[in-house]
Amino acid sequence: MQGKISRRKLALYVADAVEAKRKLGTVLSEVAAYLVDSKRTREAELLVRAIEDELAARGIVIAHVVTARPLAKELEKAIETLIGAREIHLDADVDPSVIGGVRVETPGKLLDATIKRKLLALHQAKI
Amino acid sequence: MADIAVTELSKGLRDAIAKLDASDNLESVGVVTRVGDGVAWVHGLADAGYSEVLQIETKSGIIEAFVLNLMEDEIGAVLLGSDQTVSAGDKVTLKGEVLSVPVGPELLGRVVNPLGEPLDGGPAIKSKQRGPVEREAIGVMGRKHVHEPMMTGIMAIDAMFPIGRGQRELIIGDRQTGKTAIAIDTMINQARENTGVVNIYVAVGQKLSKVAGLVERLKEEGVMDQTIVVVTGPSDPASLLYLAPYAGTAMGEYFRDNKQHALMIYDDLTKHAVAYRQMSLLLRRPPGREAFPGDVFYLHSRLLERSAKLSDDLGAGSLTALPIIETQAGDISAYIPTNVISITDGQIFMETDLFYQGIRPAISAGLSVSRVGGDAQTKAVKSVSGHLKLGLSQFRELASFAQFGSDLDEATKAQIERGQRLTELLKQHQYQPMSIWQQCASIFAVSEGLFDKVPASNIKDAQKALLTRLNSEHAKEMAELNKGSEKLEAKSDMGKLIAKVATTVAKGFEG
Repeated sequence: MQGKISRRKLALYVADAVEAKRKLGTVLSEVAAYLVDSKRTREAELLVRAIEDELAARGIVIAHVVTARPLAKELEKAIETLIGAREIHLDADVDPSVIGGVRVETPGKLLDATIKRKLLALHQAKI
Repeated sequence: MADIAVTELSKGLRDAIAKLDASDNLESVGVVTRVGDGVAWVHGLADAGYSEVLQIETKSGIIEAFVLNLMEDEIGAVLLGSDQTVSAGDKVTLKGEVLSVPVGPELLGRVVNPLGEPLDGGPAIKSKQRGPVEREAIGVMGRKHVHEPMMTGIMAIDAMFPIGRGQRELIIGDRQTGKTAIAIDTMINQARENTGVVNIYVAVGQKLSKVAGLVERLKEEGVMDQTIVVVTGPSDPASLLYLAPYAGTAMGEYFRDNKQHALMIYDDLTKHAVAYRQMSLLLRRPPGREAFPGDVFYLHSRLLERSAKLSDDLGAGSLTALPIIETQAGDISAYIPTNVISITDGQIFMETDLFYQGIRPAISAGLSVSRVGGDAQTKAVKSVSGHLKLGLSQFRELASFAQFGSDLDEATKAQIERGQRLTELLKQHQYQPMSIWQQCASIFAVSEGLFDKVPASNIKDAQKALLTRLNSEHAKEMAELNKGSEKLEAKSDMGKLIAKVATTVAKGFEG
């Protein structure tokens, strides 16, 4: 049997496929089959992060944006300038519990400018 | 409401973007992927450094951890608190600094944990300075040879295995042989003799009842004012046990670097090695001999190398170390004992047999050694203790040999009797450290044969009588002798004085 394929190699494989605009569904089912076959399904979460990291290094950034109200076009542009990558995929979420402001999460980086965060920080500083 | 907030924020955000370099606003974050047994595995944070502090945001506040394993896409970090509240998915940020503890005179008289937080119920410690827990030892040019004495007040040690300021002297022995007692007596002696030496006692995984008793005793003896106690108990996470000696050393280095003298007591390094073994195994580092990781030697060598006597240019301060190692059934050839023996400048070996024979402190004359302390001995002590060690080891050998036959020549008999008197003389109760003059006068009386007619069983009483009389009738001369700068010889005035008093005292105890 072949030796263990490292997470990094798997991530590289998926990233290559994304760049080559291959059909993502096929690639992912291949990887999933490999993980199941080699009993490494527990690593799925880490693998997703590794893929995101690898894509970010190549200039394709997947950003998770959380706001209290639907994202305004203006703000969207501002976020894109902030990230400043070649290709940006915004994954916008609306969560009223953040009260206001915006939270941008890219692989390994975070901008938390929500009111909720500020209130928490104030609360902790008071303690 | 919400309308205003959002517009204000987006304006604020735009301003911030316009003003600042865009990347500055994004902070690096990682995420906890696995946690357990006091170890958290973190994904992300590619710019984390070794030994850097991480902050994990849990539901019940921030928990700190420090980086010990840096791998391709994961970080192994050891938690500095409970792992109960940390869960997978928690956000992790870099604190941007390596571990440090408060240092300075504000800590004197306090009982703290390895992070410098008070455990004595007192107010928080507000020190002006902080010192890094891990710090490189001073280099060759910053050092000087050990030449000032660090009196322990224990006659057997000061006479036979003298310790100098800046020396590392290991105290090794089985459980219940009086290792900690020696360390405590040494601390008490610093206060009684007003040496100005700061004591730092580091308890690594010691029973808290034992530490409480120790602190109580130090307070009674008035030593606590010049002592810092760093405590970790058996229920603390292994990470704190691992940090304790380094944190204590950081506190000691403050005094060393400020032209003062400090004494470190690590009680004990066996438990420290065990805590490090636990962490290493949980971090999946490969185990070696006795399952300790490969760098367990470096663990102790980098710690003890920080004890030093500084050169005059650096202020001539010193940091003396008395590490303690517990052996199993007297086996000093186990892994950790051999390591620490080779690192230190000598060892004081405590024997169970001697302890139960009533010879306390149970110091083995044959296996103990001090490699550099000889230069640090005061002239007075040196002059009386010249052949003490050799005589005592020869006596032990002769005594075991003499058990087989009774027809011994006079010379051997005399040597055995002198040995018995010396052994008796070197017995010393706990918490009763002796001054230089007391040590000198006692050893002088026995080794010059002034007590030859006193039976061994009466030696302690005779010694007490001699010291009492010298103290009451010749206090001025004894104060002079206590300086230790003059040799004590039979021909000198001081020698004649002590001989005269000793001869009169001896008459009362002849059996």
